Amino acid sequence: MNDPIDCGCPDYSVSRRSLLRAAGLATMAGVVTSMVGDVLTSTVYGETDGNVLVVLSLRGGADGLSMVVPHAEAAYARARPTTKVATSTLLHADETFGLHPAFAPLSPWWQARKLAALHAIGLPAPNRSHFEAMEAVEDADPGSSARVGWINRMISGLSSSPDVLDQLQLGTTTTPTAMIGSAPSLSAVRLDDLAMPLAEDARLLQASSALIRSSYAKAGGMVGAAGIDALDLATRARTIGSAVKNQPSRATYAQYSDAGTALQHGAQLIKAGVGVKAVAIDAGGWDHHVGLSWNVKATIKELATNLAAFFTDLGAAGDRVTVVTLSEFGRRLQENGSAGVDHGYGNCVLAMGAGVRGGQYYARWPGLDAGEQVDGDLAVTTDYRSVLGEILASRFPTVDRSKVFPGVAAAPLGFMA
Amino acid sequence: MATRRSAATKPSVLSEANRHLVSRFGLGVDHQLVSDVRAAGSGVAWFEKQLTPSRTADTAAEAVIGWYPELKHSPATAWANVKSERSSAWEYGLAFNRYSMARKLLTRRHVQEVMVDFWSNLLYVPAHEDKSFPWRYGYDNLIRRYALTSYRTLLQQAVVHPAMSGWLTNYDNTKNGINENLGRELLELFTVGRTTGYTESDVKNAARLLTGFKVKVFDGFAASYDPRDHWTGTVRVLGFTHRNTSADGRPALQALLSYLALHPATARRVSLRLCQRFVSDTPSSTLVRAVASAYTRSGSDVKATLRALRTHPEFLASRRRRMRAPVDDVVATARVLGLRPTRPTDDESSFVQHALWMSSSIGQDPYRWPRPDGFPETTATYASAARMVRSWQTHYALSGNWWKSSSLSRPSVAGSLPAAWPRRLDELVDHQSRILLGRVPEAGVVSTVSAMLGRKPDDRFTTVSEVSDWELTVIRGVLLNTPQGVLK
Repeated sequence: MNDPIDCGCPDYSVSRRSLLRAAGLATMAGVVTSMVGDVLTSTVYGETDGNVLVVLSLRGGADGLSMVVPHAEAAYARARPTTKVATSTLLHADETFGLHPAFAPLSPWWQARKLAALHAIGLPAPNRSHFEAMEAVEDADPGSSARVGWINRMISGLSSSPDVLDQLQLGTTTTPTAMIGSAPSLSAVRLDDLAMPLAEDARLLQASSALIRSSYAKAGGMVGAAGIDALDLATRARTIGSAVKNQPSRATYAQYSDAGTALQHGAQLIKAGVGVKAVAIDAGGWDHHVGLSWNVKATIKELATNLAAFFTDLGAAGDRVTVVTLSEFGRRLQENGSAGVDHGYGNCVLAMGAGVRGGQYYARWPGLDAGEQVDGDLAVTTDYRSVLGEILASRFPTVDRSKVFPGVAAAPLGFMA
Repeated sequence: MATRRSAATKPSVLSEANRHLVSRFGLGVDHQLVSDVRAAGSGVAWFEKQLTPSRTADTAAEAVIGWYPELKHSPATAWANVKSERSSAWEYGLAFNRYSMARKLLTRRHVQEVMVDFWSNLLYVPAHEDKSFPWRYGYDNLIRRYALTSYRTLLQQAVVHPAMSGWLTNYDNTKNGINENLGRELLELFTVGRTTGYTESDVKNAARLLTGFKVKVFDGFAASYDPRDHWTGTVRVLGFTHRNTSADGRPALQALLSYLALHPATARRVSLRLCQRFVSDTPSSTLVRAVASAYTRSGSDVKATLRALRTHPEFLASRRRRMRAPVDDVVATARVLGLRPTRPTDDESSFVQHALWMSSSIGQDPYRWPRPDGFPETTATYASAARMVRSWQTHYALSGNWWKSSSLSRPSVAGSLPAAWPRRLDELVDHQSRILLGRVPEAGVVSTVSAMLGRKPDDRFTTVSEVSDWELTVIRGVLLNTPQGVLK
């Protein structure tokens, strides 16, 4: 297999990318063409073995109490007469918690200490609105009115000239709040068919690209920036396409799963070494107001199948990839009239892959007794930003965490090596 | 029959003010729209006429339902077809999507259809969702019927519609087991929004008033109201109080919906979204206040609210600066190119289906947004690098019919170019720029086209037969891929 990692030029890409950003402002076709040539090189043979963070958004508000079940709590059984997960069916139970049986595909990773479960995590204050809560989770800087996401701040902290491929949203073309900000980002269902129209013909490509570059530079603003970034992206897309095609998938993802398709493509990009640092993927379908038991079982099974496939697929590349799950809120302890659960507060987080001290549970567990609840929900004892900060400290130590999560005091749970 | 506008060597274009108005409130400035504006006398006269949709004949769009007869199935029939596996929620959703896209591509009632899109995105119900699909077409009819009346009326109708009840699980909300789903979104998304600081108790009380509405989901989908399931007792939601003693809670609910529709926070919220749709991602508070004030003064009248918006200096100043969302991009591009769908002979290869796939690849899969909040009205969401590349690819594909769509009426090369020959290449570029962008070409376009075609700007074409489909496609692709091709 074509292995681009051993080029012996880990820093080469950064300076070339900086030049490209500068060239993005130039309008002379000659300059652009020569820069394009260099970037094609840097993309595939550049810094390809860096650490990668994959953020899996469990949109809809996942029920952490069904995922990582606090089986020893009498209050859990009382509040969930028709929907509680039977203790005897739990996987890897300790005296406090156990995993929902649908997590079975991830058992090998739990046993290999690659997967950890964290609990009572969440926003510093309850917010039961899907949209506000997700916005707050992704912005992660409540003190600022600027709409800049935490992943964007992380990418900005890793390089003074961030690249358009540093942060990717896969599976949808909608940019998540976490990635909005000054560093460029890319949202696409796939990346391997983003070549310029007429790219097969050098003369047509050069002439049409030169006009696009000058007219979008002149237009400026949002449309101008998008156009210039797009041109830079498209010039590399064909190379990405062939690099990705050299990375056949070695695993079986969940059927009919958009998240699975996106993870599969993410694995190809990481293996191909296009230089990505952060990948965001949505894994929706967690808003279980109705029929919690069978719905959450199916959703967990899909998640577990996809994560197992993702790390199987990554193979050795998995040693530099860390996955974290985030959801906008947990769900109410008391089940509702539809054998479902309405919007709640505290939640679980799964961390998997590189640097994770897995095979165990981590929580400052508040308990579920009436006196410990917040408005009928599981309380939050660990700010989710502290959890993310712990991952950054381990995997991206050069990032200034006080800039990514301003004003957040680190309260490590110790789940990262 | 008037001469085609493109027959002129220098086709006339609308004034910038007229163009701005009809382009923002329309689905693409095509020949029909230019001629409708001319006939009305001005952009403003056209706009006023559009506010009463029945004043504009719309035979092409009205015929579209005949292309997708399954949409008229009763909910019971639709469910029976799904149960027997002759169809599926996904296929019904797809038919609805095709129907809706074909209407957007064909209608002359631009303002009505744009407002249908706007309200459908606010009072959002997806097309293919399992618990609502048999009612989705009926819900669309309801929104179109009330799209230009008042938000109060629209809200009162939409919230109790079986499609909404299925999607947000209100069918399962009874006095014996409150399900807060619809009650919460009613406050958060459809009316006052989070900033009013409503409490969890307000949510619960809204949900209590919503009890009694039934849909037999996964069992024929019949809709009814059952007073035995209605929660009685006093409810308080923000400043609204109702004793709610009657077993039939519908009048009490309608009173709450009226209160919420006319609440100042709803006026602000709906106005902000309107300003984002029609002016910019970040409208000034002055503009939003002016629009909200018209909304409130008129009792949420849609026409009065839109008039306040279109006459505001900030609207007038935002000319040619708004980025098109992906569906708008595809529809407007198809329209200026003169592409019109015809009754599909094969759904998969039909132009309507291709337009949907193109929208989806650029970043908006209509009615398939997965959450109750609808697509973002702000276009920054669609300003990613990948979106731009997809738009550029799509503009060429539409210009040259590269996807070889079936069931498409597409003007010939001769039918798209001037009647008088010979013509120079630069004249053809100027001609197409007027047709596609409503203005003369910007600097660099003529030389780029010349370089791409290996010709000089003053090269002459003796007759129209010397212009190939490929050459016309390049001219169009280059023009549509300048910033003006994605701005409105």
